[in-house]
Amino acid sequence: MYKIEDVSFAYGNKRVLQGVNFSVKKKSFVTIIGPNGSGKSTLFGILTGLFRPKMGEVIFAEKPLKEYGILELAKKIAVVKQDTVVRFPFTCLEVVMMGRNPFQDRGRELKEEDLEIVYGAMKKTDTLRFASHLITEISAGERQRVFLARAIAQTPEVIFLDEAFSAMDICYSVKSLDLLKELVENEGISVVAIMHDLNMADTYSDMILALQDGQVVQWGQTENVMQPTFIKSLFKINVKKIGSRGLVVLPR
Amino acid sequence: MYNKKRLVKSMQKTLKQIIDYKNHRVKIMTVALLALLFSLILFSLSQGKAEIDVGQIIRVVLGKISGNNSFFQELTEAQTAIIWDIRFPRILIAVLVGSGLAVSGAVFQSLLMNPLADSYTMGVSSGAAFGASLAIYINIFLPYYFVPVTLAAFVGAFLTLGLVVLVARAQGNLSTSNLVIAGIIVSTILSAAISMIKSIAGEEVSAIIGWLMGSLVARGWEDVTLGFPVILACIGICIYYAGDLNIMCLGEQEARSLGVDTQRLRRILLVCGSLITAVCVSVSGIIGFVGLIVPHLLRFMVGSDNRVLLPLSALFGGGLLLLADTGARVLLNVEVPVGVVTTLLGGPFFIYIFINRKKSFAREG
Repeated sequence: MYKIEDVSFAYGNKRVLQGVNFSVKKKSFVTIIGPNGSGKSTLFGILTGLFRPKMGEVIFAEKPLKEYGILELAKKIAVVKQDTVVRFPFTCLEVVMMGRNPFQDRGRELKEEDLEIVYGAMKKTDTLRFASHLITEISAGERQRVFLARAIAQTPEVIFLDEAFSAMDICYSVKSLDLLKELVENEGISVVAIMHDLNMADTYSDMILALQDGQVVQWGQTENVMQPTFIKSLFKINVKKIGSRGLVVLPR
Repeated sequence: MYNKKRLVKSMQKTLKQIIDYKNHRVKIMTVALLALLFSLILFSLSQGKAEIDVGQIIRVVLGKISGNNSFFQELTEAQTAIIWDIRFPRILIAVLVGSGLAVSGAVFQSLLMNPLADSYTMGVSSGAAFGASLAIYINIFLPYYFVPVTLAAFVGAFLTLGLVVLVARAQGNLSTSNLVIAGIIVSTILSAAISMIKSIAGEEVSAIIGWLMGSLVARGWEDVTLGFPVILACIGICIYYAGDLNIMCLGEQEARSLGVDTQRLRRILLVCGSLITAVCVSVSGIIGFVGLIVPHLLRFMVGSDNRVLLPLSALFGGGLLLLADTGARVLLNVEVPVGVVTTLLGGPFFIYIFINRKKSFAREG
């Protein structure tokens, strides 16, 4: 699906990414981990077409990402960010319906089929209850669920998530990840996520990309990357492996 | 399991109900505002020193529009002139300027992602004011030159927009915060420049102050024909892009990932909004608060959807400024500049609404 070939990026003279190589297969869940300042968000920006790499190439579905038009790309990928600030009182339903924008003709009424997709997305994320509430008046965790619903309503081939569950309680983080996992397995979409919660990353990802100082230090299947010794050296913390899957961070 | 399908159907219906409820509300508002606007126009036509009743007014307006003079044969020439050449164009200008200011205010708020923005934030109106002040000064002190004030205001507004965009762009791309900062810097400089012109104008300063206060006194058909096509066309373009503007409210990156070409949209709407402002300010001087208060009030009532908000802002803004202007010319013996009326009455009213607003109009649905 996605091929990242030798991608480098710099802000001015400051190198942020260097020689990044990896690929995202169809129907896979890829998580990007790494300490603060390791280049995760920059890589995220490059993958979603926000930045152009200084060197190297991103190929999406056999075609270089830079050759996609804005609308064309919006039909295929959805992006959920950690904190989207909305300053105007839109209803949550209106926000989720915006996910249908790439498929709508201007000025046309929302089609029956669009409404069904919107309904499905809101049901899956358990946001129907506040469909008529204002996005400015719900909690941060609820807002993140609305934005996840919007991304699902966009019916994308790839969903990109940048710390998109950071404000959700543990119940909804797990529910959202379950939902994404199900979408990957049943609907054939791919997920690329930045996650700080290593336990979640370990539980849900098929593949893990570990970044440090703008370089890929590990790339591979989750069980091969999430080894206590490696995580210890990457984050300089103490971790312990529990059972066959599951990683526990020990603060002391 | 037995009624799961029905449950799904009913929830889906709920979403539809929310949408229908909103549409219903919008329909009522549209009809109410249209009716209000028309009765205000008739009311305003009947107000003034010369006593003319509504029946006569309707006959004059219908007769003039259809080109059939027999409609108002029994009226004196002076009466028809008062209605058709003095009151009517002024009323149309009030409606037009009010609509323009309200729509451009709503557009700038969404575009700059700042509920407190309006065309004044971008410095466009300061530019128009500077151009007008300069023209008035030249006309008084340099007797061999004559600069039309309206034209000068228009040129001033556009040069300012260019300057603001240039300053904003020097810091990279045309981002929201860059535009706001550049707008504030440029308009502050221009305010100082206006003060300078005022201070060197000496005793003639009242002509400049009078213009700056905003007034619709003695506006005629030439102002209508100048302003109408531009403002109407620009409002139309803004409404055309209203759906994209909604998505813009979520932020630059979000909008791009939903398929909106943000740089292009911003360019188009900046030009339209500024064009509207430039025409409004050049015709009427500085009229504050309409651009801020009208979209805000409407957001409390019908929500933030610009596809609804922009057309309703046009109706509401037009009615509000007409009401203010009619009040300004009939209530007191001295004619008060309408710009002073809108701010003086609009300000406290806005505070009242702001404190008492019903937070979630939508929850009733």
